[in-house]
Amino acid sequence: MPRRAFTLLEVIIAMVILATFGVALLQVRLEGLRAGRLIAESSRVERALGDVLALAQREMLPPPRFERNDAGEIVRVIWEGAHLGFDYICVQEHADVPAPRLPGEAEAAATVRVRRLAATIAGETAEIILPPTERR
Amino acid sequence: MTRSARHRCSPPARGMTLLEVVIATSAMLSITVLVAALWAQTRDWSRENAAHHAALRLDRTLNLLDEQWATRVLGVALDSAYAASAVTLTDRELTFVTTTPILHRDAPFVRVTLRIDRPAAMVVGHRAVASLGYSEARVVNPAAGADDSAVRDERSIVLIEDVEDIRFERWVDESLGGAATREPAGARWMEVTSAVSIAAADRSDTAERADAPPPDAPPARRETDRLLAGRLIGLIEGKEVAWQFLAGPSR
Repeated sequence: MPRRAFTLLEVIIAMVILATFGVALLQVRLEGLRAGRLIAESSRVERALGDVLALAQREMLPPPRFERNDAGEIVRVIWEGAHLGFDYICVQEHADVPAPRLPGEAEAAATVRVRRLAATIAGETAEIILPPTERR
Repeated sequence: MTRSARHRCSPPARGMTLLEVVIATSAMLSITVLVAALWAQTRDWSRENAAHHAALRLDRTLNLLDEQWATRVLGVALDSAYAASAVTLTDRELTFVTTTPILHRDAPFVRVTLRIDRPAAMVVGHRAVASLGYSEARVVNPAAGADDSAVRDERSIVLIEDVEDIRFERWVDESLGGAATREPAGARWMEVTSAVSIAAADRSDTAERADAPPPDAPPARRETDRLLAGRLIGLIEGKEVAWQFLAGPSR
């Protein structure tokens, strides 16, 4: 039986196929790592957002700056700083939201004024709604 | 057999050409470099993977602590040994009673202690690295007559390891009155140096400002003895980590 070695073309084709599989596997591995990094970073950002909102709610952030309207009333309170290595901006403003109304309460106000606290870190935003009178 | 006849019978012996040697050497070299690069890359990936795993584990741990803190129990005389102060914070330990057990799944109330464990001997020039230990014991109702350590069954685990510069801090607001310190007045985070506790004030903190004594009145209790908010802070892999526990509504 005649013995024949691989030709150069066969070897090259085999190597190309192997290399393609190898690259595909590496891509999958890289995607997994990237996803892990994103999840870890996202959980850190989420925690930082929660911390900033909780601290703002209790007035435990560094002194804010105020934005006023033409009448001199404060319309927006803005805290800026860094927490857990992230730069944050937290804004508090008043908003009128539809009032919850029970059946038979036709005379109740249509809207109720609330405080809205919104914190933004690394493009992610979280907000909470608070009664206007709530203080720490 | 003559010499010329031997030459004719044996297969022709041929060495490798220079080109073949160069190609073989190049191929071996390429493969060696590729394997070395892959090895180094795999090691980096494993390290990165471990860091992600640690970050996610830390996140779960902090979420669990959040839940335990949110379900802490104050002002209830649950145990003769613990009733005096439901929440206590020192420079090394935070202790509170919660309804969210980790190690005693069957217990309705457990007393939790978070403890900073620093190594006894520190190497000069190295940064302080410590771990966060967790202990949990059942809270025993003294009326049941089973007030002993066997029933409490204190169990401990290590929650977080290798944390640099870990410490407890608390929020001090001297503008609330009564504080007699040499520091400038104001509100800020301060490292805990002496024991503080949360009493019933924790449940009605909106009334704290209104209830503050007038400036000329002798303070019944120093503000610096009261825990408004605290946090556990440290560095893991160079990144700042904090778990904050704030006074507020509790059970």
